[in-house]
Amino acid sequence: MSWAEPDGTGTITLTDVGGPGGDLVRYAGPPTTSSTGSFLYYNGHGDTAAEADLAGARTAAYTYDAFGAPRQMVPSNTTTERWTGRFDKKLDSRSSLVEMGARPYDPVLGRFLSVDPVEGGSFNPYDYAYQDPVNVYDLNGRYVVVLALFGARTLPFFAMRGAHLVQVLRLLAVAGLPVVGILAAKEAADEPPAREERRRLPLHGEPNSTDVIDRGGGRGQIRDYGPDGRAKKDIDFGHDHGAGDPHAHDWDWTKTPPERGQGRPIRDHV
Amino acid sequence: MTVASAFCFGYVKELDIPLVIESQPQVISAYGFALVTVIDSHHDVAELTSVERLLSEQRVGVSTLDRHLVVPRDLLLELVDPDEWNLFNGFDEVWFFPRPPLIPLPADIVITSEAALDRERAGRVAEWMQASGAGLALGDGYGLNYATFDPAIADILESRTAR
Repeated sequence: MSWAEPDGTGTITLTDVGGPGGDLVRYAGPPTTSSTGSFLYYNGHGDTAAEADLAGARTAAYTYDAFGAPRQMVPSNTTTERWTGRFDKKLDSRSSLVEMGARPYDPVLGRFLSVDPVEGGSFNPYDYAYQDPVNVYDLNGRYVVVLALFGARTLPFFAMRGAHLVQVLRLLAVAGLPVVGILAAKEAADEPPAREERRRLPLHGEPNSTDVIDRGGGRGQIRDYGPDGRAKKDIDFGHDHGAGDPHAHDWDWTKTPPERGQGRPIRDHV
Repeated sequence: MTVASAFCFGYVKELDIPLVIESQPQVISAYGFALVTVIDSHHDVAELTSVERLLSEQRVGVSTLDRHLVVPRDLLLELVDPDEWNLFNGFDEVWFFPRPPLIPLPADIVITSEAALDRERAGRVAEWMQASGAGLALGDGYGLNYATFDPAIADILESRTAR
């Protein structure tokens, strides 16, 4: 996400230019040809790992402990994106806290500074991501985000309600797909997404990929895409008209327009 | 939106059937009955367990036509409510009539939104709607296909596109 930071007089002192995998460039001042710029590099966890000047020479390298405490000095009285910086999480160097959405997070303590707004959502009201900051994220202070790898496919970050996620995991296990890196998900306290906000899964996606939509209240859908990027199979959750919950739908692309087949149980063959 | 005389059809990515029923009731207010012809990609809706359960309650105005379900419009809010019947979750199809429908929908007419309606399909839809007395058709899945003889309804539905 691109953003600019003004000082008290309204002068822009910092500009981040967003890219598909986090911010690409940070300028000291507005993004003009005379501004000093730095390319940003992230590690696999999404932390800012290095900066390089516009000629590509490394100008800084950053490391952190597991909970995100920086191992290098951070300039005083500034806001910067370091640990989980790929997700635009900002470290306030004056307070040494990271803004994690609903709650401030102290990376030195490895704890949130206010209680979990999700009652019963954590082992204790202040812990961060079940105290597993390497594999699990809690980027808004309300629910954890997990990274799932399904065989050769990567299902990008997704957040689900606890029971729903367990259901998905069980299903994937039945399908014989190795699941790596998933620990748990806690119940989010927010209301199910309003219908207006519902995202819909497209008919085409990345070849051999999987997409997931969580409509809240245990309702949602998983869509598998085939090697040609066409929708291949849906697994629906949260409704049952006789095929069970969840159930599967197979796509038939020999028809024009393509048809989604009627629901079938997934017990026999996923 | 495509307009051919008074027949309008189109596709609105931002909409689905529950959203129209709950948030845009004026769209369906002129029609007293709905013919539900697809639920969850299932065309023989009368044999679905959820529909069988609804039929068993013997509610006024609820019946079957061929393999499809006829319901009074006022029941639709209950049918879309996730805490009530939770009948519509995408890949559904509903046709609206001012009077109870009498002519079954041919099997080759489908407007669920795997693809936007084109002129050829819309032509068949228009013919059947005219023959059967249907005033509005909605089919969803990925966005919403609609067809209607009322341009005012088309305008309301299309206004979602610009939002």
